[in-house]
Amino acid sequence: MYIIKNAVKNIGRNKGRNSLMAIIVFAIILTTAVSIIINTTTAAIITDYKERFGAEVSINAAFDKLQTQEGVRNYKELTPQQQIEFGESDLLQSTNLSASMEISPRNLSALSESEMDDLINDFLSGATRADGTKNPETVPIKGQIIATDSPEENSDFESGTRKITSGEMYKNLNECMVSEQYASLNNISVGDIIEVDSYYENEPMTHSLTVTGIYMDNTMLGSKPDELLPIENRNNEILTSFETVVSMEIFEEYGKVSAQYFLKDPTLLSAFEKELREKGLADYYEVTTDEAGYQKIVGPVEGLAKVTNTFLIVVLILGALILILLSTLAIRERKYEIGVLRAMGMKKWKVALGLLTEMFVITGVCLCLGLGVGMVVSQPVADSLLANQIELIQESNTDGGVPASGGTGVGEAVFTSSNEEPLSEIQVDLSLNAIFQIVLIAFSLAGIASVAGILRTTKYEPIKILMDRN
Amino acid sequence: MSILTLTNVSYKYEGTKKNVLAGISAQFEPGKAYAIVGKSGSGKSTLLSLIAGLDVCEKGEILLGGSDLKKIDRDAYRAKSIGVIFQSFNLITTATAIENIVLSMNISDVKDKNKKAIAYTLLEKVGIDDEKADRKVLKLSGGEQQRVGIARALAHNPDIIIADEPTGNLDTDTENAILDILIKLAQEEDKCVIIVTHSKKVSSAADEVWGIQKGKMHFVGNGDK
Ligand SMILES: Nc1ncnc2c1ncn2[C@@H]1O[C@H](COP(=O)(O)OP(=O)(O)OP(=O)(O)O)[C@@H](O)[C@H]1O
Ligand SMILES: [Mg+2]
Repeated sequence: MYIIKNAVKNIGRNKGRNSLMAIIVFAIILTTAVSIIINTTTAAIITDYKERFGAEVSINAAFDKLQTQEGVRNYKELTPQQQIEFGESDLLQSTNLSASMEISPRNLSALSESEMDDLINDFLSGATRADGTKNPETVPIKGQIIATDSPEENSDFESGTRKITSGEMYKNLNECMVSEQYASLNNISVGDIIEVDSYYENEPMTHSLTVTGIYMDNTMLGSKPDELLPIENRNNEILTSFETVVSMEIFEEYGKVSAQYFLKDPTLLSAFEKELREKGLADYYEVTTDEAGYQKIVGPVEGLAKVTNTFLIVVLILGALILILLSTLAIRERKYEIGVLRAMGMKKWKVALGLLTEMFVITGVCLCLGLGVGMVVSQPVADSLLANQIELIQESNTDGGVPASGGTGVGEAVFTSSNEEPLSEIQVDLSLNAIFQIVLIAFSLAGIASVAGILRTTKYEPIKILMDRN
Repeated sequence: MSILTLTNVSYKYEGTKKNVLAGISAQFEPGKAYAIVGKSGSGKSTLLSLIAGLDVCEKGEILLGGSDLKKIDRDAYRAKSIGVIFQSFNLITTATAIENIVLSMNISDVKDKNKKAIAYTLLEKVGIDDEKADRKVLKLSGGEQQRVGIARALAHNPDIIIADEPTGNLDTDTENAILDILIKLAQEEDKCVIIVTHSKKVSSAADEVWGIQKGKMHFVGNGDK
């Protein structure tokens, strides 16, 4: 196709004008490339963050709503059943359920148990109070059952604070693990069945569990068991599955659930709240998400994305204007040449194709250079912009405390995003998506720039162009 | 049979009041050389640009064979049927002489494989050697550019050749050579050659001489051959 060939030759024929054009196109593509490379990277980081950590939802009673008499009268704690039900939502990325339940096994001894406790208990149990009523018959608390819904993700075993020394992790219903000390104190070995009882009553509810494994707790190594209460001694903890604990009769009365809900996306909060209300969540509970924690980590990256986005838009608008102006000027200069081609019988569309080819070839060359240079400079640019953002956020955050952790009910949250440090490093990367966007933008700009000139030229009859020659 | 028939052709430039051409009728035949003479500003170039299909007349009509130039594809007409030698050359000045001619041949869809060789031969015929042929037009003299323009007009072997002062910038020897080429095209290759000229030598070599005055064209006489 001679038109293409001629167009390529033409670029060389007008070195001055085309160099100027190339420099401007290069500058636009370079800034676009840097912005888009940073942008796609930050977008990927943000999505990744959202996916990995979701957004933790907090369900807390609102104090101001409980201040009224009516509020106090109506107040009910969330039941374990409610907490479990709340976790069954499509809007959630994950739910961490854990439970604890204080127990008093009659046939088992507990570590850190002291005669003093028994004495005090005996003294209070069943005693007559000042008003004539009687204290309930009780036995002291001798430990607790701890249950998690996914034992393989149990943080104690993951971090190594606890280790299985014999047997294996519970798998099925009514299986459990006990500590080494507890096992030797009570002469338990793997495969034995133990009975756990509720405390507080002389006729307790009882449940049987099969011991499948024995663990060792590192955190207890240096502590003095005598100075602890049985409930404080982690070696008294009987570990079992959430499923098991929920199935226990004792649980209905004494079990406590701690639930963490992680939304797929922070924006789903209101939808999730609506769902909770439909499931019967009273209005004196507030449903919030750990926005502040999320902001602290992802904020700088989002700020960076905003800066580069604004920058990109400004560059594109300015760039497009400059290109249109430049190519309009260039076309005016080339009117004569176009008149000659038309006089020799070249069709308008072929003239236009030639002009377009020239612009596209220039753009193509600049695109390769721009992508290459852009790749090299976008990392330092991103680093310095991100550092700025972190500084900005830290300045505005100096008096704001660490946001409250999410979760519901008792127990400590296993994970809260606010413990995380803000993202202070990003590794920019030239993704296929970024390349595609840059190429698209570059050629759209080239197209816009050419069209402006082409429209001006082809509306003239050749004689008008040639007759203006002198 | 005439190849070009002009009937009552009138033309006026956009934004002006006076008709440059006011009712011109004429017939041009293949195998003949015509000279058109007239004062500067009388409208000779204007007439040629209408014949060349660079613009259309407001009144009257120009027929190629039997078809109205207004109605046919004038781009194709310019590319294939007619060769124009412009008074002001109209070459692409940043390209070389050879490139100008090859590009023109490409536009005219000349099928020959070796367009470059044809172009060199043509340029040699009008007195441009290979070294000059590879030079940018910008770096050629006026007379040399004139000759490149002539070679370009002939490169696609058109049936009609129109030339606007083709020898205006040339010395006597070269003028004779160019004139010889143009006349031979009419006599030996049956082309229709129309030359606008101020030169006595050219008009006397033509078969017919026409004059333009006050927008009209009238027959002046036959050449002195
Ligand atoms: N583009 C234009 N717009 C308006 N008037 C024009 C234009 N071009 C030419 N004219 C006018 O039309 C008339 C005819 O011009 P033309 O170029 O045809 O003359 P010419 O006979 O070729 O003259 P010369 O011998 O000097 O080349 C002149 O009066 C000229 O001023
Ligand atoms: Mg003229």
